[in-house]
Parts: sequence; structure tokens; C-alpha cells
Amino acid sequence: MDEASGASRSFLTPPSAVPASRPSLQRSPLQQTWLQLTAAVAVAILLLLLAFVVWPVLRVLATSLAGPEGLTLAHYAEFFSSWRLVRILVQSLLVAVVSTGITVAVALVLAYAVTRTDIPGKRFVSLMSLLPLVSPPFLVSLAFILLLGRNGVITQALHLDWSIYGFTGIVVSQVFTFLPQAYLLLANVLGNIDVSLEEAAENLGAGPLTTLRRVTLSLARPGLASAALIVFILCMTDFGNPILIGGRYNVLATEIYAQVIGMSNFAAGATMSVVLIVPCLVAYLVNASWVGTRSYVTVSAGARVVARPMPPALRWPLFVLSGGVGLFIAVIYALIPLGSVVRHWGGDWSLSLDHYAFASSAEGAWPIWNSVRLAALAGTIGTVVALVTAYVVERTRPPGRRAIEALSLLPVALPGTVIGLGYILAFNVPPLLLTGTIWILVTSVVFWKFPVAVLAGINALKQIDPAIEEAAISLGAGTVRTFARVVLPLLTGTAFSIFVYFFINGMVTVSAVIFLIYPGFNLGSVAILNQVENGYPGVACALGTIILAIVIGSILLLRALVGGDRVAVLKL
Amino acid sequence: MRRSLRLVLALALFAPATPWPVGAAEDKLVIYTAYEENELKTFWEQFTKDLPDLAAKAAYIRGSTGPTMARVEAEKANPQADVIWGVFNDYLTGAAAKGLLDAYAAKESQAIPARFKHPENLWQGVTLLTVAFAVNQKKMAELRLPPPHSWADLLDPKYKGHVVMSNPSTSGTAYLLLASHAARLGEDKMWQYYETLDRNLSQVTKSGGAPGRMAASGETPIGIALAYEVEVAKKQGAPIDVIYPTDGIAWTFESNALVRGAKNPANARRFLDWAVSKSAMTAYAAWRGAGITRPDVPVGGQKILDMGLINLDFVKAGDPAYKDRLVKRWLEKFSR
Repeated sequence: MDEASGASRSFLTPPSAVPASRPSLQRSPLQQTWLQLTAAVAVAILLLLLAFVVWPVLRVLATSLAGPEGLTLAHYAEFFSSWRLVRILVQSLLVAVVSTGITVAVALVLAYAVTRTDIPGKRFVSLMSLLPLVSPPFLVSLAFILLLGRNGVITQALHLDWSIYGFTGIVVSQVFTFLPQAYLLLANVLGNIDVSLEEAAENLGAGPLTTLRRVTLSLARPGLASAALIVFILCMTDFGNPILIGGRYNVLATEIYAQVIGMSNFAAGATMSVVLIVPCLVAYLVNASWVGTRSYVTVSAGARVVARPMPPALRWPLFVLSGGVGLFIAVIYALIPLGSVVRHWGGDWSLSLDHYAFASSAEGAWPIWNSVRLAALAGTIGTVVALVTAYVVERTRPPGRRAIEALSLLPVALPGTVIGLGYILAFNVPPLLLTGTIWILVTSVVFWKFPVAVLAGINALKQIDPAIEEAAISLGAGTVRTFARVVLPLLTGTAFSIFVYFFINGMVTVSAVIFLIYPGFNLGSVAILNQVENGYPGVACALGTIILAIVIGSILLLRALVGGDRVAVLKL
Repeated sequence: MRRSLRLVLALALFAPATPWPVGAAEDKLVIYTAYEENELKTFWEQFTKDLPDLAAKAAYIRGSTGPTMARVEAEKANPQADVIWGVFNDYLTGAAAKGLLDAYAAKESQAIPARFKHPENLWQGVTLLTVAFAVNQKKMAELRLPPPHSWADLLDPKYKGHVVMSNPSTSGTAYLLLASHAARLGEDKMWQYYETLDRNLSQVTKSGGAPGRMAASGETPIGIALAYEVEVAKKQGAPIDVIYPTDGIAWTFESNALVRGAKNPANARRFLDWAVSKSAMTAYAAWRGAGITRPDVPVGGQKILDMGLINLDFVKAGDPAYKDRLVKRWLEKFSR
């Protein structure tokens, strides 16, 4: 698993509209058909995005504004007059801000240590930081429960009268869950800063700290802001960690679930959803417009990046910290398989494979098989739709492509709980009656996770010089042939990366699908939550271990099949 | 490319066999139930034995009471379920008020006393339940705590941080308890009781079954749980005691109903007939002991109706407006 990902970079530098100058060639009938075809495809994609992104959001908005007699703001009045709900909003913001601050700070140190210094063990840190990317987002919480829950190892060893459930639990879990996103983004930014600039500063008499502060960090500032905003959205919308380890500390994402699934109060759930979208959308727009235009790219023919020797006073603390974080992530993920083979965590430490019999539920291990089906379908369909969308946006440039691009990226700012609620509201009635079928799950994964996939596709296409296509056309290949024989083969690596991305998300996602699973069709990730809630952490660990094995195994298998580093792990 | 093609073909195998729902005439029976998985297995085996042809077409979907009923409501425009089986009667009263159920008097249901039936036969009760304290002996010994014997005992500060109960907005058991305490103490005193009790709670779980299981596994010394579930855990060897509070036992009964707009109504009625039959009742009794509604089926064990029960008005408790008010107030006060 390498960290190659163009997707994150384009959050910093949104694709600029450079019109590709195409030689005006005589159009054959085949090319005419091709043009009509691409126009039709553009329309189809726009319709898909309207149906699966815009319509659910509009349904949520409409539900929050619907009263017995037409439009009303009564639900919002109720929200803001409830002391409890306002407190939940404040709690959500508080958790998100604190988690974001810690995550970005730790990620910055890690990224700096790995990209700009010569400390040992850098590969280990990089590798460990990828683990949370490919696992259900709440396995970290589960590990913390095994460590510090009421039956936790540390709790028992030290006879603590304290439990991790609550604010602290959510924050530490979120930090380790979202660290990779921030780390990879910052490593990317720091890795592209030319060392010559630092050397120039030092030659001009600046000390190491001044250089760090005035040169390196200054150049990284937009990247830092971007990382902070993205992590903020992730923490604000996080559902799995708060529901597992939040105890009695509620946040908006979990409260929406309680309102809708517990009390079937759709209006209240929709109102909270809109309240939750606002800060996320603001963060997203600030990132896209303000930060996006301010990336200080150090222009040179390939930035010179070499690890520079550090003064020991800095080197060793950096080594201890980054090594410590890497080691801790390793421990967290070792705990999950360990927990699955201990007979009764906190009581009977003998080893056993009993949990793998899944006797605590008649579903057995079926939810995992369902997850695999969902992941494979989302992977296949999502890859095709995302690549076609990327091609339409980047190469055919039909009128309305801005709309397509904007709608493709919008789900970044949409919390999974809102997608889940929106999909129930939108697809529970004809004409698009999808509830109770696997398709509602597939579409939710595909379109919620669409932005990263489309950006990866666009970036890949950008790297294919249009001149190559033009050359093919000049040699008489024709547009269709050029697409099939030149563009597609160049895209296979990206296609497999996108497939892996959708596949992983199909396996591990929980916040949207928890609204959409239907009788007889549970998913592995949701089953883990249920097993923890029902007091079977060992079974939850067994399910988590199998999911981890499937995800990591399928990435390795795919890489073996299509060749080494052509399959990358994409991230937000 | 050929390798990728092979991969795509392999993936096509994952595609579901029946991608779109197809409606055919009564070749199915979909049952939503809140019975626990373990007892459900016994009941279902009896059903399969009694009506093999119907069982072959039938599928059950199990879930917690709240989510199951929320699903029925969400699917109102396009009902997926034909029958609701074994759900707390107060939830069914609420569902009836929302127009989600159709009336049906099952054959032999005249054998069930009137107090266990909806006056218009929108639901009919089959199994009885009580709420008790699940107390983990091992944990209590470690903490050197005496077991509580009454709701009043539970308020003692010595139990601070040692009690787990469930959340009335998601758990039927917890709402039953809330309504029962309101019936026992009056609403004002009930809120005072909950306020004091809150100081002793270490956790409030989503599912009503969780506190009992947590007490069985030692995650908490005391859980407030359905008595028969704790009895089952005890039989399976958990170091756990069932203690019935001396100052009032909360109780309720589970009922069956026909879903309005059911796609397989004939199958549904046949199942509802079976679900109140003597044979079904005997299967229920295998898990519930005396906790069944038909007096003409002989069972052993202590008759629940002879215990010190709290006198709860089930129709009032099931009224959506009343329930909404109590639950909202509870959330406002105790959910952070």
C-alpha cells in the first residue's frame, strides 16, 4: 500500500479550466455518433447526480420544513428552544474542534518527521498510519474499550475507577481514526517543499527554528488549513466512534439516528441533519475557495526533497513521538484479533475460537458476506460511473460540466447520517422505490464516496497529455478507437485504485448504511456495533478481524493480479 | 486487459440473484418480530412442525422493538411486513392509532382473556413479561455490596456508578418502566425518582436486553432487565441472580397484529391463527414458563398475575401523545 493519491492534492489546487486545444478535424459519421453519445452520457450523469445527491438532500430539507399546514420553521424553533438539543450541538462542535486540533498537530509532527528528517523507522510509521484508512472507522473505539473500558486490561490492572466512555473516549478514538487523512495530506504538502528554500534561509543566517517557522511552515500553511478543515468535517460527521464510546455523551450524528430509528421522528432527525450540514458545508466551501486559491506551490522542475540531518535535540524527540504513535496504532490493531480469541475479555483470559462460531446471533457471519456483496457491487458500479464522470468533466467538456463537477464533489460535505436519512426519505416511495433492496445500499456508498473517486479520475486524466490522444487521432485512429485503445489502458491503474476505494468503503462504512439495511440484510460493520452494544465484544472483534482480513487481503490480491504499485489507497 | 476482464466477470457473480423486488401472489409471508433470537428458534421450530407449507414461504425479521416499529411506520406507503409477532402491546396501540394495523380476531383468540386483547382486535396478546434486577453475584462480592430488594433500595448512594438501564427512546423495556413508575408513584414523584436514580447509573444503553447481558458478563454489577432473559442467562451458568422488587413489579405482554396493506393477507391470517394456538402457547411456555396469556394451556411455575404487579393502564401507556411526552421529558432531563 503506498500513499500515492492525487485526490487529496486537488483539494488544495482545484482543477483549473485549461481548455484543451483540439485540432479541428473533419468529423466522420462515427465521430458524430461519438459526440452525441458523450452528450447523452453527460446528461445521464447529471440526472444520476440529481437523483442520488440532490434529491435526498432536498427531501431532508423539505422534511425539516414541512408542517401540518405547509411550510414552517417550527421544527427549527423547537430545536433551538430545547436546552438539550442546543447542548448536543455545542458538544458536537466541541468534540470536532478538540479532535481536529490534536489530530492536525500530531499529523504535522509525523509528516515533518517522515518527510524532512532522517530519523529511523519512517517506513513503519507510514505503513501504520495507513491501517485506519482501510478499517471500519470505529475499530479504534473498540480497541480503547478493550484497553480502558470497564473490563479493560488497563482498567483492571490498575484498578481504575474511571472509564473511557464519553468526551475523552470520542476524542482519543477520533484522533487515531483520522490521523492518516491529515498525515498523508501534510506529508504530501511538506514533501513538495523544495529543500533549497530552507538551505537558502539558513545561508542567509536564519536558525533552524526560524527556518522551520518562517519558511517550512509558512509554505505548508494552506495545506495545514486544508487538513484541519477536512478533519473537522470528518470528526463532526463521525458516527461510529461516538456511538460506541460516547457513553452518555451525545453528538448530533448519533442523535439523528436515535430520533429517526428509535423514535421514528423524521422531522426532528431532518432538522438536526440540516443543522449538522451547515458547519460542514461552511468548512468545505472555505476549503474549496479560500484555501484552494492560496496554495504556495514552489515552482521548479521537480522540487528537490532530501531528508536533512536534524540536531539531536530535535531528532530524538521526533523519533520517540513518531515511533510511539506508529507503535500505538500497531497495538490498537493487534488488540482486535487478540480480543477475538480471548474467551471472555476481562474475565477468562484463556484462548478459544468460540467467538468465530457467531452463536450470539442467528445471523451468524452472514452480515460479512452481505458486506462483501455490497462492496463488490459498489466497487464495480462506482468505478465505472466515477471514471465516466471524470472523463466527461475533464475531456469532453459539455455545457453544464461545472454543475456535474460541483455535484460530484458536494457529498464531501454531507454527513453519512444525512445521506442515510435522505435516502430513506427519497427512495421509500415510487418512482425510485429502492428501500428493502441492495441497490439503496449500493447507490448510497457510490454517491456518498463519489468525490474522491471522481477527483482521482480527473487527476489521472490530467496527467495523460491530450497530445497523446491528438497523436492517435492524427495517425487516423478516430475518437472512439483513441478512447478505447489509448485513454482506457492508461487509466487501468486509476480504475483499480478507485475500485479498491469503493470496495473498502462498502466493507467498512456504517453511518449511512445503518439507516438503509433492511430486514434480513445486515452488514458486517453494523453487526460489530450491535455486538458491542449487546455485550459481546469478543464477537465484535471476530467480525472486525474478518473484515480487516478481507479488506487487506483483497488489496494485496488485486495488487498481485494487476501489478504492484498501480493500485493505490485513495483517501479523502 | 484480459486479466481485468476476468476480474470483472468474477465480480459479476456477486450480483444479487433477484435485483428488483417482484410482487407475486401470496407466495411469501414476512414476519417482523421482537422475540429474542434464542427463544425465537424454539417458536419457529414449532411453527415449521405445525404448518410446514406456510413455514416454507415464511421469513422472519428480528429486531429491537423501537427500530422494528419505526421500520413498519417508515414503510407505511409500501408495507414490507405482513405480520407483527411478539411486540410490546403499547407499541402496537401506538401503531394502531397511526393507522398501521388492520383488525383481525384470530381463531381460538376467544380463549385469551379480554385484558390481553385490543378492544377492536387490532392486536392480541400472547406472552407475558416482568422487569427485575439482574445482579452479578461475583461483582457484588468484589464490591462488598448487598443486593437491592426494592426500587427504593436502588436509590442508595452505595450503588453509585453500579447500575445500568436502557433508554426509553429506543428500548421498549425502558419505556415500560417509565410508564410503570408513573403509574406507581404519580408523574411528579416518578421524575423525582428518576432524578435520584440517575446519580447511580453508569450507563444508559440503546437496547433493552443490554443491561441484563452486561450484568451477566460482569460489565456492571446491577442491570435492570427482563426477568426471563436473566433466568435464561442464569441457566446457562452466568453468576447472576434475578431479584423481583418488593415495591412493585413492572410487567407487560407481547402481542401480534396484522399489518395494514399486507401483501400476503391470507398467509398472514393463517399465521396469526397459529400464533395463538395451544401448540404455539406450549412453545412459548418452554421459555416463558407461566408467562402466556391462554389460561387453558397448563403450565408450571409461579403465575405472573399472582405477583406484586404495578397496575399499569396499557391503553394510556400506548397512547402516542402520552408516550411522546414522557419520552421527550426523559430525554430533556437525562440524555446528555
